[in-house]
Amino acid sequence: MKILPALRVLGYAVLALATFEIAARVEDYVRHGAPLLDAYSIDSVFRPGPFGKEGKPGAHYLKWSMNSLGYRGPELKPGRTNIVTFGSSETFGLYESPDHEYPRQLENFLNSKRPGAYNVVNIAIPSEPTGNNRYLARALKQLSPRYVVIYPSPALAIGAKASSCNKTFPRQTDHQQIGDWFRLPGRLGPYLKRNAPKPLLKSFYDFDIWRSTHGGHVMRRVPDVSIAAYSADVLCAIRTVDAYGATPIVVTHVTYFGDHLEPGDDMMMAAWRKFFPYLAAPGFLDLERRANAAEMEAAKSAGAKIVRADGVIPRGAGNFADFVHFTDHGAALMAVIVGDAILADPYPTPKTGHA
Amino acid sequence: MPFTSLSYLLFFLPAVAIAHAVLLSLKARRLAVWLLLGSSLWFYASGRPEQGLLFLASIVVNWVIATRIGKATRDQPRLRWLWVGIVANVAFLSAFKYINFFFAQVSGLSGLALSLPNWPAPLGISFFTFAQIMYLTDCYQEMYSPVGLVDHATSTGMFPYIAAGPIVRIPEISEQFSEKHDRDARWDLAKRGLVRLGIGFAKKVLLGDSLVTIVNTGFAAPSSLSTYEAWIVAFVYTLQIYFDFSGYTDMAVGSAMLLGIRIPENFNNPYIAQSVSEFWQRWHMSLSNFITNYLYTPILRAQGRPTLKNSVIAVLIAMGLCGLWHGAAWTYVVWGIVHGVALGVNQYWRKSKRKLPPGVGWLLTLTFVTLALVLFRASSLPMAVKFFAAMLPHANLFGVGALTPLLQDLPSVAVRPILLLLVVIPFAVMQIYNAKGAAWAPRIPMSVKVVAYSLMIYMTLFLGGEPTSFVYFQF
Repeated sequence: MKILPALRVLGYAVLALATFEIAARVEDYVRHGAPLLDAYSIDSVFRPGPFGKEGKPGAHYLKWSMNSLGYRGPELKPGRTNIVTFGSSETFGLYESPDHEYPRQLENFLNSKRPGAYNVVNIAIPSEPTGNNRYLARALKQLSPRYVVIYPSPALAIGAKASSCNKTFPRQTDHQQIGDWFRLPGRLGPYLKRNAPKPLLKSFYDFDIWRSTHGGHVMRRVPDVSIAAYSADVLCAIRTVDAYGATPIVVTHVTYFGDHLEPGDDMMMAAWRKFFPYLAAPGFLDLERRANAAEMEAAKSAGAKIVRADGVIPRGAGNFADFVHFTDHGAALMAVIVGDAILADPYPTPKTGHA
Repeated sequence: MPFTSLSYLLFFLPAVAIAHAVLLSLKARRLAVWLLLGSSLWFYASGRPEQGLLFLASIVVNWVIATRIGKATRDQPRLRWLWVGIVANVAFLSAFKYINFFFAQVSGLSGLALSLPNWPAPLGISFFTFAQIMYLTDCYQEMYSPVGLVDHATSTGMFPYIAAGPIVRIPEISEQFSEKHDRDARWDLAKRGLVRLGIGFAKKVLLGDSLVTIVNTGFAAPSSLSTYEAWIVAFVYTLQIYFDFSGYTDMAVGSAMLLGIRIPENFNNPYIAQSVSEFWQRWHMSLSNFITNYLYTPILRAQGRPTLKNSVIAVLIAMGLCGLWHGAAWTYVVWGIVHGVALGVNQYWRKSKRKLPPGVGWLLTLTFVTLALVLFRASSLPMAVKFFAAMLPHANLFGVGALTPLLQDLPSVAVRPILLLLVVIPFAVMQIYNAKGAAWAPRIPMSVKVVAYSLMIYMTLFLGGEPTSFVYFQF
């Protein structure tokens, strides 16, 4: 007897969710020209390529737009010196407002000093290892840059057993997950992250970490073999840049936490750990220290220019939107640090690249 | 904890409302009052515990004084205790709200370099202090008997209205603690409260906050505005402050209804007023009642005969103090006095028994209110003067240069309210006529209601942007 009212309530819940979903699709269509019926997510701007994931030429999703070469940012202007920025999601840019990711701010900074002299080409792909030298080599051949700024992401070393240099990446299929088909989760997630009570959010993160590691071994520190793989990846990227006649500039990694944890950091640390649950919280700062040391050692051995961002960009929410990704302000600081290094180069002669 | 936060809307308020309803169902009325007191103190002091102590100190002092007034049998000690209470409350309010202003004026006039105390004012100090002055006066006038300490504390500081009103009469709230309602009546009140809460949230986030950028841009650099832009900005601020404050009030009234408590209304379509005196009967009504009954009337009485001249003097003083209540700045004082002058002119006009053509009174009132609000919004009197200068015809009469950068934000400025109105107006009209039993209005099927509510929720959550702080929280 009580099944009918329960079914009715269920029906209304489904109707409400369907209304939300349709509203989200109409909003995307009106504001961003997104397809009404097709999937629409950040993955819309990527496609499987011969060297792993690559940018889809001309694609755009919300604030993220790819140029005709498949790199994030505007079309290259002819007659300018090309500078390439290579890295992971920190370089690609996630949280900055449009045109405020560090490569775009670097271009603006450099051109404010030497008007019309530089294109900064952001070839970064989120989660791509620094050792993907084949992807890098193809971009360098295409762009003939004067400088390549390498900003590796140490977290990618977690779980690494060997360098990915010269590795053949299996061609990924362009499959879409069920979550890509619905627009509502993409709105609800960030909304809850911004507005949900912090203790509740922390409990969710802790539960997620507990669920992932339940019964498994949690590392207190990343093993040396992973750091060695990370170092070899950095060296591989530097050598690839050298091979194409460009100047590599290696930038040390910097995080929300700086070099120490402070009271109140547990929430942000839990958010980071959620992605790498098998590493205990103290292991992250240890990883940062060791990875930066290994990176500098590799750069030194290859004679590459080193730029220290760690200890220069202050910790905290002013510069970081999450554990590693920049705010507009943090990206601006990064742009100035890197820009100063480029402008201080003793061989500033512009070298025209292919536009 | 702002009303617009998920912490409040999804966790705190539902948890308290459900626990309160359960206790009432179990007929544990006193426990329900304790729950309201405990949750309100937690709400109040969660950010800054020292504020909770100051609030409690104010409660205890006022409760003791009210009890003394209630117990005294002769008029003289009763009056003495009333004065002790009024002086204590005004001193408490002044110590936190006006002392910096006072020191700054003394420094400015004397040339002495006085260091400002900068004591942070407890949340809602203006509201709970006025509520308690009102309570002491009512006890003195034997309108009400003093209530117990727990009821006093709960009625004064209930979380739906502690931060920014409405200013309540303490006994009118506390007598509801012992009222008996059946479950249906409580459920009906809670349902209406939920709708009111939603309307307030949408008013604030979708309408009020949509206008913030225009107002902030305009008031940041009034000298750059054309005459046309200055008027636009002034009228937009008139709308913004209404949607912001009435949205807050809707949320406060709705929250209280969810707890089975009815609190006074603060707004009754103020912008349709035909005169300034009607405007004040429709705008911030709980404050207007306080000003009328506890400032204007006693001042008028103190002058002896209630002549027109004495009435105008009383209204000028009362409105000047009303301005000062809003904040320790000359802009607020002048805003209050300007309203006092308008109310005085209104009294003379009414005495002359002349009539304005239909619509003219409304236009004059709305224009006056808008102009006066420039004083209210400006950061200083010189800034207000600059804004008024921009409103006067000058070389740049119809330019749109200063506000042009906002055109790119037009979707967020204009589309949200338009979408909201497109959904809400037909729905609200049907609801109203359904409630009146109009034959032409078809009953709205539940599925249509679900779609309409879902669209409203979607727009409020995802098109609303980050809610800004309520304007009246600063008072």
